[in-house]
Amino acid sequence: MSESTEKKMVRLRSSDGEVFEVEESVAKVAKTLQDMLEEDCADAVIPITCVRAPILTKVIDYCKDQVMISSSSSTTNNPNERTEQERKAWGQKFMEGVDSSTLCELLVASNFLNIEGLLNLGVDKMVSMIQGKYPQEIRDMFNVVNDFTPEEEEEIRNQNAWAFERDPYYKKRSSSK
Amino acid sequence: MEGKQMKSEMDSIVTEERPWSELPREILLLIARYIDQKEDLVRTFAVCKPWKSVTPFIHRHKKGTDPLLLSFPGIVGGQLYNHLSQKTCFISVPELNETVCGCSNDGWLLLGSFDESISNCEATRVPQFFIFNPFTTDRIDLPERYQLISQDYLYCFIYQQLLSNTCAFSSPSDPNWTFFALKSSSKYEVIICTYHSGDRDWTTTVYPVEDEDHHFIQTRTNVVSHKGVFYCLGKFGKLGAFDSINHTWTVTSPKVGKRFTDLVKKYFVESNGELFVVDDHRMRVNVFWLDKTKMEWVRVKSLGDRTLYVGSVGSVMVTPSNPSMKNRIYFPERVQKGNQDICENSLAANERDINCALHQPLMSHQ
Repeated sequence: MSESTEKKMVRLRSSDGEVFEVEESVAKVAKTLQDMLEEDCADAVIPITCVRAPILTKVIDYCKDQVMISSSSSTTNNPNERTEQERKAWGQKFMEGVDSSTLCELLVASNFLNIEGLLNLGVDKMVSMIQGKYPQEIRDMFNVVNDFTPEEEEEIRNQNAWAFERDPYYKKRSSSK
Repeated sequence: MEGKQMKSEMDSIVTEERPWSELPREILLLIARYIDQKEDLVRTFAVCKPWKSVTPFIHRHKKGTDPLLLSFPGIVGGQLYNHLSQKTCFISVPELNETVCGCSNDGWLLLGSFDESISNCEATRVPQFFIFNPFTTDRIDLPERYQLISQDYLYCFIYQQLLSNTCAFSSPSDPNWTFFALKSSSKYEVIICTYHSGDRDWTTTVYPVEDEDHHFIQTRTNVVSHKGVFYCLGKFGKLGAFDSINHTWTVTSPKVGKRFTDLVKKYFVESNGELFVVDDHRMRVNVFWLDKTKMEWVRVKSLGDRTLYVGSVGSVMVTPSNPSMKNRIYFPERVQKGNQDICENSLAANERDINCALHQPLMSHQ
């Protein structure tokens, strides 16, 4: 029964019921899970009901990669060890196919599971998406409804008029009225 | 047990796709920290109401931990001075005109509209007290309705405390913040006036002085706060503490050495719960630290890698971005030269007594 050489496995259940079996070390990349495992509630399936399966898959991919880097980082001339540049490139590649709704869920998941590196990757991506954009463009991109009244929006714009100069979307709106 | 709690918390979360507008506050704040350009920040947080609601909690200034000096002579708004780069920039903030600053905390200022007649207790118009952040232009008005004691009296009360800088507030970055002012004019009682966020009214409470040991003689030293407790420095080094959660007032008498005299102007500084007193002899500066286990004001010989910025409306202790500034004390309000182990230095060439406040750029919001 006690096969100490065998890697201990942990089972995680996503919000839509899919069960993922991962090595304990992979699960422990998530600080929230690490705390739970150290509290010893490990033998049952851990329900992660705020994260859907496709998102959890992505999260587990990230965690696996982190384990791969750290497990071999003590040896010299480690082929997996990355320079700052390589790490950046890897992060970009990891986030490449992520669309805006996945990104939102990924942010919430990494925040909830407390995976700092993944959260930072997500925020980085989000910030690169909003750069230089006006509020309406950001709303369209993230499917957010403008819930300000025209008066409220006017006030926000007046407070920081310099940031809204030449906003084509706003002008369009007011001229179409 | 904690795990079980966590599970039930997780169970309660809905499993649908999450809309961007419901992004948790801590993630929005993290996003704000990652945004470089100010216009991107303004535009992003103008997207929807839930996002806009976090703007008061956004602290910009990511680089360095050195405070900026904000001065507002009352004509054209204010000016910001960065003593590291020795650069001054002017900010146009109408709220700063004709106001007096009573205290500052976490980038926020307590301002009172300036009216000469009020100081003589003959209020001709209602003075406004408000807490204001000149960087985000967020403004929180303190109520004009007053209970328990007559209106005129309370105007004077708060105004006097404001003028002598003997009031304080905990940072409005915490939604549960408190404003505090104290008056200890007689031997028999201490009057404490507070305002809690969300209240419609001020709360004024009179605390009778039990005996000689609890007698607290107020000084013109600023008040500091830490985790809901406001600390006041009285004569003979006495420490008054008001717990704004339990509404208790306690007076303790830490031991004081020979150097601790009541003859010189003192500044009260709080840093991570530790209390420091800086006294200002102009030619020589002493710093005392409250040793809470021995209850004694101990003279500090070195600040280590930290730097003190000392001013009458608020003082801060920081770890400076530039190591050459460590173990120094800056008095932004006047020019001074010193000659002892702890250097004193001037922040800006403000020889006149003007309104100024320290803005500490990097304050963690988590």
